[in-house]
Amino acid sequence: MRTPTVGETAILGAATGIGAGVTWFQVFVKDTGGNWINLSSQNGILTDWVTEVVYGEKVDDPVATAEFSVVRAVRYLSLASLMQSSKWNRVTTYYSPLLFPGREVLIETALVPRGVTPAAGDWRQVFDGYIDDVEDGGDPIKVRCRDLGGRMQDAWIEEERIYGWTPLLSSLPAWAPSTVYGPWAVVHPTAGSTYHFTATSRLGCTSGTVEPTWTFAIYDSIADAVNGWICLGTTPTQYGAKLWQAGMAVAVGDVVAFPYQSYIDPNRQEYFVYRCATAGTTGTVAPVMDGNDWLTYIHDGSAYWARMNNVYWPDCAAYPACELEDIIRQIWGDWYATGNSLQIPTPSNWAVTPYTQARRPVLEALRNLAAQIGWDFRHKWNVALGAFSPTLVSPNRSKVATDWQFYSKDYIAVPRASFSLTDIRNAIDVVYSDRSALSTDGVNYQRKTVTVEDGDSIDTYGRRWAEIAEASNSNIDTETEALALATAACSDLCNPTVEMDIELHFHFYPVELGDLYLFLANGVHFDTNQSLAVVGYQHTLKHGECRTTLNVRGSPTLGKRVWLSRITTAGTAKPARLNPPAPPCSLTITNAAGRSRVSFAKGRNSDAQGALLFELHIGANGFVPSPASFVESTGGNAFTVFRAAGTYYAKLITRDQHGNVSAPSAQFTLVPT
Amino acid sequence: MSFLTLNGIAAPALVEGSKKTTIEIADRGTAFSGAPYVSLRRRKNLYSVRLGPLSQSDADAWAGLVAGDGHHWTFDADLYADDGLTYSTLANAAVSSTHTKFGAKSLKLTATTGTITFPTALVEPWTVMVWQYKVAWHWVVVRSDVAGGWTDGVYNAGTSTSWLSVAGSTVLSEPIGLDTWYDDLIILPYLVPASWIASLYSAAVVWPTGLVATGDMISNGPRSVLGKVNDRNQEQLVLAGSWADNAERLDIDLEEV
Repeated sequence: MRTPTVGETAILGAATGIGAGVTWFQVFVKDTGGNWINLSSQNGILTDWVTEVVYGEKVDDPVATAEFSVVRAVRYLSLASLMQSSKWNRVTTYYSPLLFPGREVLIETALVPRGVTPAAGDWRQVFDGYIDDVEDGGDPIKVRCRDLGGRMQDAWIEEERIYGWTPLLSSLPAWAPSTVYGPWAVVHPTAGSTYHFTATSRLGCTSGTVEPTWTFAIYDSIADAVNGWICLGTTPTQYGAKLWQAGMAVAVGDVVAFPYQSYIDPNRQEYFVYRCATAGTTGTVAPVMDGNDWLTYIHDGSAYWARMNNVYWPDCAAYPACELEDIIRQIWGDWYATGNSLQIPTPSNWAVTPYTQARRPVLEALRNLAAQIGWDFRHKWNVALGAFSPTLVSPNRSKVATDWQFYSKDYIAVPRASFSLTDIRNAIDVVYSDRSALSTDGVNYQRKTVTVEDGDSIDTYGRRWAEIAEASNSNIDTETEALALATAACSDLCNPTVEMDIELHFHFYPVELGDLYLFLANGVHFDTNQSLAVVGYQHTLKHGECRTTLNVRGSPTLGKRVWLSRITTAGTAKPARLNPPAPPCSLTITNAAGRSRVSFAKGRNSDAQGALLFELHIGANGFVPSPASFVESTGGNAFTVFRAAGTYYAKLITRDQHGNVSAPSAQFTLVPT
Repeated sequence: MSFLTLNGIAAPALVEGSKKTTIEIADRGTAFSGAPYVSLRRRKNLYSVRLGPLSQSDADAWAGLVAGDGHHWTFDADLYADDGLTYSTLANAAVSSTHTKFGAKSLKLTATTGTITFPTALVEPWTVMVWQYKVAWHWVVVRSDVAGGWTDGVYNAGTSTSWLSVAGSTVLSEPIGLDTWYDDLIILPYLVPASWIASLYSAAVVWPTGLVATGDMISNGPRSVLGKVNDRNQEQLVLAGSWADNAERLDIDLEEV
């Protein structure tokens, strides 16, 4: 809840009788000349053009909305957008309609004792946003707006990029004496340079007792007690690493990921992340990577790359984890980075592993990230900044202390008080791709399921199941993350709580989502005091009549719709019988005179596929299995092939009882003698 | 002080038939508990006044004044009138701070070539009132029903009106070869009575935006009011020594803004 002043608290507490205060309101629109035009205070034949303001937000909606009505025209002064001669629609000498989509809007209210005209310090900003629609047809003109988050809804992540490979470089530790640093550790000097430095090798390094002399020369090697450091330069201009492509124009600061095969596990897909040091165009083939000790500096076409980090590096435990808020900052910085600064009031302490961020609206991507741990991301009033700022919000689901109390004298009516079974879900499955388990096709990860149930809820209402299926490129790609998601969803959906609308007869401007209010027994709807959380509110401001309607529910939540919208409907997940089996694995080849023997095991997760048949194919080097390359099949676990001495290229495939065919195994050679 | 004065002109208001009503901008009701509540933002006055008896032409002028007919330019910042009307064409005309009668700026027409057209759509009768500066400020009033006009409140049939042309649109120009400044231009679609002209000149104050009421009837005046003409009651009586079969009494409302 926003904190009212002492004076405002007294007014809101009195609320009835002669102690009641009065709410004043004013609406500003920013013209294209950058001037804030106060529609509520004009010199001229009409001073206040605003007739009504309705604004509010709901926990289920990602942005707050506002609608205000203004007088369309008085004589020759017209706010209709197409009235080119109207003074309202001219900035200096050119036509530029004032009420037009995209213009910024500020709404302010002032709560003062009756008989008092608000002073400058009495005004409180209650809405900041942009015009979406202007309805000029009627009189008054109606203008609809979304808050600043609307711009983040409209901005897209335009390209798939890899995130989570590093925390913000600025948050990395400063160099410290006599410290053992892990592979690829990155530090920044305490003095002498503002650049970042990485350990020279995957062997890490150890610092001495005295800080080395740093430089500003990229790729300079700086010796330390054991091994040393290489200068990486400044922070990259972006953190999303795009996949390397041939002939791609790159600018200094661009970050690129080079895929390569892990030297530890050929089944792992790993990436090296480099930052562009010299702008240019990439070459026609990707630079050769050495998975063992990767290069610091690469010449690629006309561009040069400087090493940043590698993704999925198995020895990289020493590298600081990338927290949820790091990713939020990185995505925000890469794709939006306008307006008021990001606010992260509480650290999430939630490490996110590297993932490919899909293309979607920025706000949606950030809200999905936050929802991973049951948090919210929206614009919220920030007292220190004196502005609405994009904020990572942690709903306090176990909140007990109430923010305010309302008596039956404070409201006019309770238009709605309802319970419903409809939205209850008490068994939640989350299906996700497990990043730690590569599928047998060697490219995708295995799909796994975690389940979270609420026993009390199931006993009472029966089992009400739902499934949330995360996409294969979702950032929910470990069991821990999937469990956290399922737990948050189950917690928000497992119990029906009373949902009430309460219409106050005054404007309660301090209300925010997640506030917990105590409603004293009114003897009609409830005869014990009720603590209820705000899940929505709407303020209706008219001259002489300013009221707030609160939408309250059991406890602070992320809202139901955010979960229900993610629940899979029947048929969206592929039935198991349509999934291909895994190819045979663990091959053992024994060559002998005139024959070779191949023994193998069935691939992972093949049990669900029913009876399996394995096929041996032989062909030229690099062949694709086809009926022409088919040699023989077996239901067992070995083939014996009779051939003249020579080299034969072979592959195995698996066929299940439903007719699904696996990807071929890796090619192997048979060399009968 | 007179009983009621509108924009500096003493109104022929009658105490009989006039009243003052209080209007509340408030939300009153009953809370769920049964307790009454009130949120009172403002209390203001509505004055209902009867004017008259008046000749028909005077009644037209009062009705026009109360309803706020016409346009008023201060030229203090730009070329827009109070009601948003601006010029349709101009040449060598611009706001200037070289000479001002009221406020920060005035309208300057350059010698010989300066001209400005306001799309006022005027039909007779009409009145144009403006402060004009060539070598000194003079207040000039031109009416559609008489030749010449009033200079500094005094009628003279020989007053030059070559700078003014009204044919639907109102055109100000400068035909005699001297840079000219205009301030506080008022264009009214009715004939301003000669008695008003004298009193307005002697008051020598800027024409207000909208309607300003003062006088014994008005509490804490002067107050900006929004005027409305309700009834124009017809009467037949002796008016100023002669029989008038179309005299009128006006019932008007003045609401504080």
